[in-house]
Amino acid sequence: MTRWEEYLRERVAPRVRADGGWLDYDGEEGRTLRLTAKGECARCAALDRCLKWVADGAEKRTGVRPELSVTREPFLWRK
Amino acid sequence: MAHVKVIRRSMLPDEWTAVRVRWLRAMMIGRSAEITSWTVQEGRQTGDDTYEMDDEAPRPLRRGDEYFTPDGTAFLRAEAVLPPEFRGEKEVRLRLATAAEMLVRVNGRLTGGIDPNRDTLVLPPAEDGRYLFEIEGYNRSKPDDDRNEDAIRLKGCRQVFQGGFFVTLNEDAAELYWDANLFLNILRGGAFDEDYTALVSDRLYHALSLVDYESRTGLKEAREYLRRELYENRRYRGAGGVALVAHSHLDIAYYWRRHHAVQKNARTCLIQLELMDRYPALRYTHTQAYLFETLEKYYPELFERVREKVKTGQFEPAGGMYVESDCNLPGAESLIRQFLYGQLYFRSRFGRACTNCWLPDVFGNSAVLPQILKKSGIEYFVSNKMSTWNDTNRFPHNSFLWRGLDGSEVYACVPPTHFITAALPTEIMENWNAYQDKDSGIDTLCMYGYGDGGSGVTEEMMKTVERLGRVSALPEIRVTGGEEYLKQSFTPDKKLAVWDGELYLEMHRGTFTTKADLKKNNRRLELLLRDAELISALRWLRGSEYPARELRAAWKTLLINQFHDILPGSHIRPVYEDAMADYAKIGADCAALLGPGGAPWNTLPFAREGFAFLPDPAGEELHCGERGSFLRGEMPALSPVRPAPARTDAWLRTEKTQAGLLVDTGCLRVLVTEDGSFASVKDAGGREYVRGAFNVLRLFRDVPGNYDAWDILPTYRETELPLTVRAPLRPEKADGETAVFLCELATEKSVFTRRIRFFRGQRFVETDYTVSWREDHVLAKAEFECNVRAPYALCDLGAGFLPRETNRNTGWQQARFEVCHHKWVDLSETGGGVAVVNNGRYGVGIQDNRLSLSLLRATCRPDLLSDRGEHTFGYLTVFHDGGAVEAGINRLALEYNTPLRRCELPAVRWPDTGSLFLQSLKQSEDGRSVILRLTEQDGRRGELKLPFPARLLTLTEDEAGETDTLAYGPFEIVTAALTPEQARAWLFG
Repeated sequence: MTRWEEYLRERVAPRVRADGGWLDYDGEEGRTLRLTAKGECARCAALDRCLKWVADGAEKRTGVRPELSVTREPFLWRK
Repeated sequence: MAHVKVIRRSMLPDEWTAVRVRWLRAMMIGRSAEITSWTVQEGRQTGDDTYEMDDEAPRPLRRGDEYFTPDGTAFLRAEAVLPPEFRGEKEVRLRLATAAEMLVRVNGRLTGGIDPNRDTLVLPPAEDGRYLFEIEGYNRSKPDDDRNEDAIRLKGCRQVFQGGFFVTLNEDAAELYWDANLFLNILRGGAFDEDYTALVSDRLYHALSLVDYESRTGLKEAREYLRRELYENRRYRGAGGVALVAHSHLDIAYYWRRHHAVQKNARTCLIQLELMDRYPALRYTHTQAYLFETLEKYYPELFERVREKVKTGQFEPAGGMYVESDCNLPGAESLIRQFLYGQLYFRSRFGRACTNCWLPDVFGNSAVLPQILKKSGIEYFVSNKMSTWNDTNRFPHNSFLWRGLDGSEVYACVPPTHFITAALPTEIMENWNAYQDKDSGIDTLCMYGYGDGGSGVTEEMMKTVERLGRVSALPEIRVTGGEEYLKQSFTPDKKLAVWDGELYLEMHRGTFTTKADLKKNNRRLELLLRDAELISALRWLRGSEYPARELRAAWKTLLINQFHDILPGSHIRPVYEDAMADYAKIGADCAALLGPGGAPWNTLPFAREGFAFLPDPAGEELHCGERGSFLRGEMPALSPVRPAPARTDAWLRTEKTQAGLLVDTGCLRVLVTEDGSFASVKDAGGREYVRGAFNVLRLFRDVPGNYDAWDILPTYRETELPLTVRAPLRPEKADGETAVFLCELATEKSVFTRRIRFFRGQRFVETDYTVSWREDHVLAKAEFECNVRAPYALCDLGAGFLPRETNRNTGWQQARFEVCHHKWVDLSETGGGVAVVNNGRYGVGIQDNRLSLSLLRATCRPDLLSDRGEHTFGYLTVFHDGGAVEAGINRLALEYNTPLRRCELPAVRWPDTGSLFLQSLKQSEDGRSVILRLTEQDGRRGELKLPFPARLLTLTEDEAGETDTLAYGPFEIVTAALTPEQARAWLFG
């Protein structure tokens, strides 16, 4: 598990889920961190603010700021 | 020339009116001075009053900064001095616009709340104008229910700080706004007649034209014009009467975890208290003893203020229950405990118990409830759900008598409209128009106040309510409390219709099945708690200490998790995780109370016949995911078991045929196909029980829409999904008592391992499942098409049973395509039938000759992982002579759900109580008596002779008489108190 993945899974995901949202770690490549936004996050108009918070936290934890690549899964849909 | 559709771009007069009302709203703020000393420290709530902080220290917070995080709590602080220009103002407020929920302390005192529904609070006077603001804010997050459009633009887990300000109100603008907003609502709502609406349209337009929005003049003139032209116009007369009751619905968990309800409740209570001081007419109805408990524990100062307002009659504790429980799934004893612990709390803290059960949002109500209400001191039942959410039939009454399974009757009020309103004229008019019992002489009930996550009445609502009496076109308005309304309205002289049976909600049918783990554990723990309490009471009679505190704590934890958005499964992931942790703790606590040793013990009040399961980690049987062994032998009521030696002689014959494996147990000849379904089942007399697909596992596409976790659509059978046989039926094990055959069915993602278990000498077969469930939006059902012609099936309700029709004649039967049952469902004709006995499933479909037991769902809102994972469960299919009662299906179901326990106690001399089930044996809440609760289970009447006179009690353990003969009617719950000496002599000799 990479440090970004650990951060996503252990710090971000539980908190987002407690607001009905869902952010899945989908992998990383170089400085790009791929996420999928599901649940309430998938239709949230203010998601960008949360993503900035995610990037801030990742940088604080790892010293490297990720560029986030986020896919929104259609609401009420599971692939 | 082609027709070109012209899109109107100019503004209509009413739209111009609406724009100007918004301007008035903006004009309500008079003076404004920004407070610039805010700091924020962010964190996350981890318990009722514990937090983990993200920030080591507070940081400055400026307008435009981002604050709050997902599931975050933010602590804001500011010290500020009131600017000189505010000195001498009659009233100064703090203004802070947010979508979060904030509890505000001013100069050390809890002063008010700010949330999406209100952005100001009135400040207390401060010496030298110095203020210290300390705010605890929780990030509100209910995404599907933003009733206040002002809050929508602010929402998000990460918000932008809009600044905090000292402000004053421009009273003239405010008063005109509240007038104008009321009439705008009439104008736009469509609930009033055309002429009156036209009058309002014209007069409001002209009134707003009297205002100069630049100079802010003409406000008084506009108000005077509205007074003269609309308030004093009595030519339009409304009819009827509407009682307004302030209430705030508060989900203990839903899109938030349980510990967040502590703050939500405190904020809600604080807001109402503050409003009561300023609006003495406000009377507010608040429910759930658990919430009062948390207020008392964590906000004692606030609790004392509530108590003071309870004394004045402004704050009304209501509902009687510990929490607003689901009323389909919990067993009868759980519902009883909701009232026992709820009413005892209300009585101890406020001097009296409640007389009403207040459940605005519960997803249907079991027919066992009226008796429990009646015997818990509850005369009135209130629930909005059936009138506002039914998807097929209009529930035909709003004010009526509700008759339960045993014939008990309570007054019932099902208000015609939603339990969350703003008391706006249109909402009131809609309520009256929809009211179906206008001729009863009872006013209709309209609740007002924001809710779901609390919040309650706003100042704007109070301003509206104050004006309603002056709107002649409205029905007569009565502002009252819940109890006063019910007591004054529902009186014996009223001729009311009777609704006999369950209050079935024609919606949310998926909640009988969603989150199967919760259902399974709830069932298991209800019975485990019964046994732990029973054995503890028996030990107490023999000299041990009774663990009253531990048992009460375990019960209360179970009751909290029966809240109507927890046990039904309609919540976010962390709520599920909290519930499962609670269940694990209850299980461990009960195990500790029972103790590790002793002989296998039958805790049921009747002799077990056949087999009983004894959990044992070293046992050879894997039964519904649990190791143990099946015991047979002498298993008298409430006694140690004397196991019989295992038999080794042959009892089972099998024969492979083209159609499947023919299994002959001597009692049944079952033709089992490769997927574990039964092509034929015949008893020893040759009677065939199967007509069609039987014990067939089916998967259906299950996409109900926004209310994903809640609903199953009537069309769910349209798309059936394929299942393949991954491993066909094969023998797994057989001995002298049981034989197990195993097969595996699979989809691309999920695997069902089915163990078909036969028992020697028994007319039932168990299907035992281990499932790896990885589907999305799929409903799994086990279906049984029986060779039975019956107009109705009987469904166990936990304390009695209810017939449900098998036809689809009318909308009423069509709507009941999925219903709630407890341990068993039975389809019988004269002479015989089929029962399906489960160990933790509640949803069942019944149509013609088919029983369709819901096993698993895979919903994705609000919890994307709902139900995904491993599951173990089982059911018996019982092929019997006679009907369900003659065949003893209920006893079998109790046996199936209650494993043997281990206990050192000797045999209890328990009399034959026939169809009376010993529901509870416990120490009384005052610690002085033994409580014996019996429930009639078969629909019989009779008498049980006691060897001495015993005190009869209500369910809240109040005196209700004395007798040495317990006379009971069908499905009656009887509670008696014995002295320990009596009980010892009677039960142990």
